Amino acid sequence: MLSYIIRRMLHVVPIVLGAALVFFIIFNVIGGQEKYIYNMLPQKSRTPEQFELIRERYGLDKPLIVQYLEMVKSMLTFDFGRSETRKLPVNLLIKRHVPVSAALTFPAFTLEIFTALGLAALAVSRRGQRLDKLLTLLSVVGMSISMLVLIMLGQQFLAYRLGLFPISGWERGIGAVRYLLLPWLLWVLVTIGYDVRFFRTVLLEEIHKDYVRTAKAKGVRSRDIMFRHVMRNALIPILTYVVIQIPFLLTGTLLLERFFGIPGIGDLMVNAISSYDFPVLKAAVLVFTLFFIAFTLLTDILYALVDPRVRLR
Amino acid sequence: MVADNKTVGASPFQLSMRRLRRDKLGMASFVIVLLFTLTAVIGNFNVFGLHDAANSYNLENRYVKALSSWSHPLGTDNFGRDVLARAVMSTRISLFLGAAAGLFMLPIAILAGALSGYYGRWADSIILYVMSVIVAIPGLLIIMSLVQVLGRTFFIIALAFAITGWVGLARVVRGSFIQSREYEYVLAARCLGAGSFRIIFRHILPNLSHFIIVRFVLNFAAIIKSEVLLAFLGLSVLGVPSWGNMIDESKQELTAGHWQNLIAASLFMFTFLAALNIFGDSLRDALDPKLKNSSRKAGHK
Amino acid sequence: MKQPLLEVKNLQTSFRTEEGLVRAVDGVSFSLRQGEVLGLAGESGCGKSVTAYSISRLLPMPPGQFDGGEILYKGRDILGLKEEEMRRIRGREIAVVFQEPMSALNPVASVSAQIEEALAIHTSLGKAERKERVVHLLARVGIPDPAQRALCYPHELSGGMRQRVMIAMAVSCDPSLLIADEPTTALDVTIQAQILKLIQDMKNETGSAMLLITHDLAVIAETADRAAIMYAGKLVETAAVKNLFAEPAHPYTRGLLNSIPVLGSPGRKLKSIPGRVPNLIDLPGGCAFANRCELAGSRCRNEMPRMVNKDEGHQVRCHLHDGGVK
Ligand SMILES: Nc1ncnc2c1ncn2[C@@H]1O[C@H](COP(=O)(O)OP(=O)(O)OP(=O)(O)O)[C@@H](O)[C@H]1O
Ligand SMILES: [Mg+2]
Repeated sequence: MLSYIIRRMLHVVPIVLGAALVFFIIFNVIGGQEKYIYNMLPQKSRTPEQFELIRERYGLDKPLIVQYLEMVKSMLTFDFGRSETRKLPVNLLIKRHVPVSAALTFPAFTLEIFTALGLAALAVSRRGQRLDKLLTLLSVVGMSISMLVLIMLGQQFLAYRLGLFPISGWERGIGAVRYLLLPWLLWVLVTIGYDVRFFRTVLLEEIHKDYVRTAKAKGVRSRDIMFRHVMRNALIPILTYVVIQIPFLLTGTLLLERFFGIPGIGDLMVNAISSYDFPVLKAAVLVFTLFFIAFTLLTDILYALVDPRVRLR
Repeated sequence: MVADNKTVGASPFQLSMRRLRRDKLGMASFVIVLLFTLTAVIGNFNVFGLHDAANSYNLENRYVKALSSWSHPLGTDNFGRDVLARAVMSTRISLFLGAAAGLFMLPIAILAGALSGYYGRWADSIILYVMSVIVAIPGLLIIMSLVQVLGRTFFIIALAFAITGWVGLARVVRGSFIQSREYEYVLAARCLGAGSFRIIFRHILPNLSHFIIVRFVLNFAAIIKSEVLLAFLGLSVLGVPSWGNMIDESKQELTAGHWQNLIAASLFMFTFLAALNIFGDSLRDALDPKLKNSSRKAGHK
Repeated sequence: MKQPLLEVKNLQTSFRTEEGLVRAVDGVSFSLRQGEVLGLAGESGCGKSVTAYSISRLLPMPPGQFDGGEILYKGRDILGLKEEEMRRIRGREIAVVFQEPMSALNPVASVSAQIEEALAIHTSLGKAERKERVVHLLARVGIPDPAQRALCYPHELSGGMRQRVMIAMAVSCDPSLLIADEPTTALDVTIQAQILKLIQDMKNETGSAMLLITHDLAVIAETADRAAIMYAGKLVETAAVKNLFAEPAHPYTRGLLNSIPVLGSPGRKLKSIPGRVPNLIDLPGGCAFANRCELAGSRCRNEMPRMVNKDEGHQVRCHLHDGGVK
């Protein structure tokens, strides 16, 4: 098991190589040097001397292949240097912003997943009836509303007009919850349509399997059939779907972070891209790839726990 | 045996279309989708001075309320531009973007999926690697970077969506190629000396077409939603009205109590997306009735 | 005479499908006494399973629906029971052995958990007693090393073993009626005989009645007391097993008998019934078997034959025995 985990963690290396290449191509090759430096420099300091300085500091005068290898090296050694726009060590920025995003994301995500599962189970146990149709309709509505519109309406009405929540802002520590309540609520509303629908499909497929009929023939209550038999089997596709989403939540909440002034990683990254803050971008890409690998690994381990047929090799 | 002349002699495709036609909600959604397509095409031309109304600044005439004047049925915005005209023009950008991204994506996905599924070996390894890299990076990051570097043009944005969006479809194509490598009709075609290329395009792809169509429709919806996010980040198509741009512009207007832009753009978008989602579902049910809620399998092996 | 354990009267079950209403069971009547074995046979798709699952009300509804008839179990009409009352009967009074041991067991629960569940619902045994009982049951259905095997998951067992588990689960609460839906069809030929023997033993031990579904008449000859032959949703002949084999009355029954390979007579050619089973959506007006029947006359195509008594306890639905085919 341990050797399995170690072997899987080594997959990080080729993925990081690839991810680094994607961004290297976009910024250094397609974008080109001049543009790169131009965008990196604040308006008033775009002088030839400054250009030379940056070119040297970031090794942009070296051959492309060397530049790429240096990029990979800095990613694999966690050596990112300082952010050009924020004038702070990148590692510190990451350390500050990731927990904020996590505080925004995980509670909202957990709440949403369990609500969606409950609603899907309800819809499936009343399949074909009015409640099921209503839930299906609502999930289509949820899927068809733009996230931006929902956020704007939420902020406008619930925070600005009714004053139920602060309009935006942030503070460290437990007080942050005050600022997170509305973003959490909005996150649930934005994503629940898709999830109810997906879970409903999975549960519906499961409920028509033969073993469910066997359980019914034994005299098992329909509630127990749903929770003890159907859910446990459906957990396998559901886990894949859920765990794989987690690393992307950090970008998914980017909109919320910007709207509500929450200093998370999404916010950090948008700024990094628009100001060509390459050190921060590299670090963010690394964080995402690591998250991704970690969570795919977690999925596989959970699989083996849930499904006795799965063996980790 | 009494021949059931309704179902005998109809191809699976005809049967699907018959099922689709019987699905009233699905057909209604289809009509709405068609109407929007028509709107998009009309929005491409300057009929009735559409483009002028959408783009002419007229600061005398700012914030006309919706439903208050015949010349501006949905009111005017911040700069006195006609909101209805802008919503119609936006339909063009959003729909064309969805369609273009889909069309760029299909060949990439099909080619990659077919290559890795059918040839296997090194082609498979390379393509699987590329897929795993693309999947590991949040798509929005790549899209934002590409648009940032290459500019906010229609073509670049569509391409960026295609580059990040092909993996899901390619996986499915790959899976079914691996499966169908062993199927009888493929073996038979091979025995008859058909070349690989021919086998792929004549024998395997047609069997996948229904999946591809459904995927295309749902992808369309996803792209239209993502365009709004890009607009919010200041990265949507520059200088033309799009639903995203309109919604983004309405941010400032809301606090002053002007809703025209937001309501028009989000209603257009909601109607289209809802119709597209419902139509996508109906299409899937019609093309692949196995997936439908009916419990045909139960009580039967 | 005692009241029968199960009495099915003019049962009609159908499915609403896209193509139309499938009348899967159309006016089936039979009865089953305590300890008796009734074999139900017929070609694939004639409605055997639907009959069986109607009795334990396991059909998906919708698309399934009951259009008429009664199912009296111990004198009570099952079709009128509330779902909760029915649930108490399932597993405790009426137990089912399914055809596919592969898919009929929950793949992510252990064997012991699955059998225990039935005991937990229908008995007042404590947890330790239930565990003990499971091991005992597994031993009784002939599973070697039962304490170990109880911890296994279905995929770790062979098809035959899984079917034994299925049987252990079915008899765990001593049901009065056992429904076995083609319990051996999915198994290897060598295992089939063992499982059939096991089912018989179990039935004798618990003294329950059994409805045994099969499309293999040899199984019926081996196991059943009475036999019912089904065709296109209707019973066409019922009789005591020895009468049925001695003097089959319906042309369809004779056809089925002719298609059994007879051991030890290799020279005899296997004769299958020509033609195909009719579509249950658009049944012809007269006898459903008429277009495959060598003896059919004009009356067969126009008038549905009635079920008539040929001898004591031997009924047949054929114009040949009810005034002729012309
Ligand atoms: N859930 C369902 N939905 C629609 N039709 C069904 C359903 N279950 C069964 N049927 C139909 O009812 C008819 C009888 O099916 P049934 O399963 O009882 O056949 P059977 O005699 O058990 O056949 P087999 O020997 O193949 O098991 C078939 O025509 C079948 O198509
Ligand atoms: Mg059956």
